Amino acid sequence: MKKFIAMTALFIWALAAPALAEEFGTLPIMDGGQVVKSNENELIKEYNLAPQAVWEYYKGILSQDKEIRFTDRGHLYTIEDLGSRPWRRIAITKTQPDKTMMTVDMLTWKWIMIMLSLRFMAVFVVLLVLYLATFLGTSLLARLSKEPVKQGA
Amino acid sequence: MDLQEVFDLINGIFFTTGITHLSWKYLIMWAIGGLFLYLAIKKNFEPLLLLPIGFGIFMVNFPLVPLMGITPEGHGELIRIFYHYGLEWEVIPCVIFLGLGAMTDFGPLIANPKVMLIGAGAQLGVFVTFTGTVLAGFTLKEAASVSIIGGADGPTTIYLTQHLAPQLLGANALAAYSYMAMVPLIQPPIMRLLTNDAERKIRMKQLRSVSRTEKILYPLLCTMVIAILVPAVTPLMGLFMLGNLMKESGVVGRLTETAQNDLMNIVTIFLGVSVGATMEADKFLSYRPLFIFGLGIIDFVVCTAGGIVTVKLMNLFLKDKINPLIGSAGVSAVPMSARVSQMVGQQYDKKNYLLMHAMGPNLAGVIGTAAAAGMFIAMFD
Repeated sequence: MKKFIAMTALFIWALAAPALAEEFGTLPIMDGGQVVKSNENELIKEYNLAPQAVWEYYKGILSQDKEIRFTDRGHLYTIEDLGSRPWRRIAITKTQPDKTMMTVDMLTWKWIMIMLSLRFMAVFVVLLVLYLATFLGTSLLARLSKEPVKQGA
Repeated sequence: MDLQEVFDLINGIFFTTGITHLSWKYLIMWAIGGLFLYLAIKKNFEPLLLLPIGFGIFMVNFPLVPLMGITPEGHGELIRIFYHYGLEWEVIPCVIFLGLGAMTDFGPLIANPKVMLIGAGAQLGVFVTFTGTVLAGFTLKEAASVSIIGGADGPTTIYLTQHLAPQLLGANALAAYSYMAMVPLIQPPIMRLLTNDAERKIRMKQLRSVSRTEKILYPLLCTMVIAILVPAVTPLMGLFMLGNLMKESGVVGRLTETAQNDLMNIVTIFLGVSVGATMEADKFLSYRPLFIFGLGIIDFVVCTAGGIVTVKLMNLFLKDKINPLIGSAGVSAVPMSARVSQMVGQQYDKKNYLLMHAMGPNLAGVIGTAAAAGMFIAMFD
């Protein structure tokens, strides 16, 4: 009976935890741990838990949403919002087996502008690589064929 | 049979018609469909696409029509099937790119590859509009799909939108094709505003001739670069380059001809009518399409300006100057925007032939828009 009551209590706690948990930009934050840094754009918490436990907690509350992307990057778990939530990313470090650093970043204009600038530059890089490849390729062909470059269309 | 039964029968017939389900929303959609039919038929604006799109909008906006729904047996109705296999499966944009590739001559781009950078500069509007779209309350994925409109590339817009925000497909595709059709109206004022008289009269060196070997190797090279750097758009660019290789190789004439004509025509019909049919009154009538159209025009303007400014920046370092009027051709819209460069150039110097020079940035714009789309897909999909 005691076991049943304990299990029921745990189940109810698990259901209610996200609702009762503190929030950061509408994201329910996992209880416990120590706040390392907190400001309006970023929250960093350290847990004495395995990274998998933190990862599973957020998977549990966010996995129903199609706009959320879960990625395992080897040294890091990331959970990104591709919709319109105020927060942008949760990063969970995997460097230590029993200690986890969790960072929640808000979606800010600074991030959007940097992301767009980098992507714009990346388009330049793609076309620059294509330019260089074309230039080198045609020069090489001209040299191999030893034909003078003709003028006129 | 008594009179009551006759009335019941008439009543039954009456309720199977759409008359009792008509509403003001349908009237608005008929007007929108009618507008695009008018633009296609009377004004000759992108008729190959705006005509089937306009009719698709018109046809689907009647109550009870079995076109875009799913039957009780669970299979799609006629246009839903075109839409499902053509657009949801992203087949049609890629097949259209195959046909476009089979019509494209990369000669001007191979002869003067530095204009490739203009195609990148002309993507400026894509990234600027993204911020405006987010400000207007769209999600990041939606913002990416709306902002690609300025690239002036219909199939790429459809491909990206289908990936990231399929709910905006109709509005995005319509905005892209409408503004592509309006390139001769939108671009010249910007071109005049950003250039001076001397710049407009710059004559460029005649392009060298490009060998068949170069033209055959180029699609392979381009596919390799795109597949390595932006793999997300390889389905689009890969088929584009396949079409081009078929054409340039000269050994598959029948296939090339089919890709250029019959295949292209068939998929264009399915594309147009499917895109039009996504615009059902209940889904389409909101403030969002208006925002998309508004942001689309800003996007186009900034992309055009981006191409021109890129040329001006390049001219600071080049000995042989580039006429900035060809910068506007960095938006895709092949070959319309290249023709606009030629047209505006000849208004200032009748013997200045810019068309072939403008084709280079025009084709670079296609690649640049696809690269920008690939960046967004990699990030948000």
